[in-house]
Amino acid sequence: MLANVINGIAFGSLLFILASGFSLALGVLRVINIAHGAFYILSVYLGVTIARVAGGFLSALVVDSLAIMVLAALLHRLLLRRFHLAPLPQVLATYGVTLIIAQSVRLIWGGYTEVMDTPSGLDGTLLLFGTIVPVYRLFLIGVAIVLAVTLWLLIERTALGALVRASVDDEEIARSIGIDVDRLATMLFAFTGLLVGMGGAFGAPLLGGYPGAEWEILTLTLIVVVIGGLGSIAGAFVGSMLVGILWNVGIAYFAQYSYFVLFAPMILVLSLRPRGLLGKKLVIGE
Amino acid sequence: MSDDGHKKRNKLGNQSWLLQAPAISRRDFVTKGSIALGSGLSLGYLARQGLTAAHAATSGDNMLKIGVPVELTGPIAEEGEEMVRGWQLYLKQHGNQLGGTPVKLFIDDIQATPSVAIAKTRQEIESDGVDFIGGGGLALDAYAISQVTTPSKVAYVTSIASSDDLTQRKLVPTFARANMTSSQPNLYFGQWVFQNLNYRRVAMILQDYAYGWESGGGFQYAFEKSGGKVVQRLYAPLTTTDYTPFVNQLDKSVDAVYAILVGSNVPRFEKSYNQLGLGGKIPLLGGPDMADEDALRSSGKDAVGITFVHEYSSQLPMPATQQFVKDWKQAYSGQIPSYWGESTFTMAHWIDKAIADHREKTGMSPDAVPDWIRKQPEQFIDAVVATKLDQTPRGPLRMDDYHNTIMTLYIMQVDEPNHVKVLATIPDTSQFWIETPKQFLSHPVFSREFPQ
Repeated sequence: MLANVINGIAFGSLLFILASGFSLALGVLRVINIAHGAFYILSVYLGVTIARVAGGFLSALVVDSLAIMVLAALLHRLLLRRFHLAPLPQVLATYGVTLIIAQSVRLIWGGYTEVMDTPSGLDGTLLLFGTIVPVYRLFLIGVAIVLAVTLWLLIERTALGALVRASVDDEEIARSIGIDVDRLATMLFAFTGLLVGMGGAFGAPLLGGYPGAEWEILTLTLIVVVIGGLGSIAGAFVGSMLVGILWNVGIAYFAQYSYFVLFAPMILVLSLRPRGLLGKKLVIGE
Repeated sequence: MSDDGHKKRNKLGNQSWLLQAPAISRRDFVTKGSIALGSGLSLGYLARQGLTAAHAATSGDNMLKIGVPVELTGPIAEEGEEMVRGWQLYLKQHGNQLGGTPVKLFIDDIQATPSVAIAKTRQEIESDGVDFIGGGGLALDAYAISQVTTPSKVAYVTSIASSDDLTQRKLVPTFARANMTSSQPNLYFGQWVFQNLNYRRVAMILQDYAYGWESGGGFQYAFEKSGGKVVQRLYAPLTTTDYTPFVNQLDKSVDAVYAILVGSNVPRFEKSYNQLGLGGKIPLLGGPDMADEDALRSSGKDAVGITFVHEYSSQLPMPATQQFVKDWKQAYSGQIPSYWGESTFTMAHWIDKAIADHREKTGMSPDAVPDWIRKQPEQFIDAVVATKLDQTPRGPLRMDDYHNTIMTLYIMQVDEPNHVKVLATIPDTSQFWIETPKQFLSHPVFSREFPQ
């Protein structure tokens, strides 16, 4: 039981790294980024190549984060800005972007599965409370906690965060006191890209990239966000941990019903508390 | 390649080129770069503008037209591409002829979606007028294609789709398979493991769909008939992202773990297996997909130690295998062919010889071959079934009375990253294992429920 919980928390940590960007984009910017999963696979394949060529996980992490950040900034500047607060065009546009990215990845890297080697130094195992836990998974737990705290501080405790919250709460007033709302939105969206880029690098040794991963990662992210609630870092964190633990413990006791284990909690939350466990009430559109 | 490319573009004149554009452009893009892509499209455009008549006159009716509905996009896009390359390489090596008759391929992307497979197959038969069908990688697609070919009495040969019942309980006279059934290699493997490795208790993890059930079912059936016992079976969905809970669940008191997973599930499972300390402690056994070319490539050192069964490996030492791999690498910029490409290449060989033999026996002219195949599909299939191949990249091949391949199986072990060694060779294996067809078909197809 304890082994399952620990591994569940580790898996949940990866989910949090992957889902935090999506949750921010949707909750704060009101942008539904269907291309989230495509960003992930691009980041994985790019990262695997970088790690192979430059020889190291750290270089992959840096290149991935920056590359996806630039891509996200471009996407927002060229496309998404036109669809401000218009969810359906956003969904269609980012769906198209997903197809383009996924096909480009296939053309460049081929449709093979790529899993990064676990970073050296993190590839061992530890005996923890009488159960074997891979070091890399413990490392992910640490990363997720640091990331969660950083994000929370950034949004709630910094001037930049205050600007963001101000322009989301009342765009007109924010403009009138001289906040460049458009530029701020692009910056924030670029930041969510950076988070996915990181997620791709951290996920590469665990999940890897493969044809179709763009949709699987998007699905997992959606489950996390639906359960945890939108736009709140705490919600994304709780949602990720819950899904991670449920998946691990669920398999242990109902291995034959593994599909059910993942989706049943989502349906339960949707029907009992549609805004998610810790979510704000979200209004999209004018 | 240039010859085939020409054929492909000619084909564009026949039908709505817009619908074909994605599949065509991708292949040209990959093989020739963007210039070829541009010229391909503009040729298609020209053809649409009025070259159709000229083309119809040159191609004539004496061409053997083969429909290849295949998965060029979706989860097995890379493998689908290999199937096309298998056809193309064989034709290129043999003057674009099968049995002395010039060949034209009609390649269509079916997107790994049965409804698209049905539409494309119908289009190939009704609009393109193909003489037989030779495609379809996934079992679902093969059943969909068969839904069209069977009532319209069109011959269908598959080089991959391994679903047991296609050549067992649901065999139709217009169908043949130049490949193994899902359970076939696993039946022999189960027996071999019991007799040679002396394992008595085994736990299993199976991908949770028909291919996993049939593969695992075959292993369990033969292993238990030999005297062993499967003490645990876990089913992992195709979309499993994290294998840790499954590995945690495995019974640690067993002699070995048997796994049959596919695609990207293989490296993730092996990683969890090793990370949780089972690698090197409990031996890992695998069905074919656990260590085929793709799996070896993506698993790297995590695959080391696994013992598995397959009908083919690019590392088999036979000269025919090595010649084939060399030719393939040369033709396709260093790509190493997996059994998807090999099996399709060999199917082309098989049909080539079947037609040649039939012509020799009956004195049929090359021009009459397309008409014969179209009007007498069952005779054509019977000719394929009666044909024996002495030398192929995976050893000698023939077919049984149920239109499935009798072949040599190889039991191999991954001894270092991306390298396998052959432990044993089992010749003349049949889909019915050591039972008679009647015995074998008296029990239901392998599933979650059978064997218990």
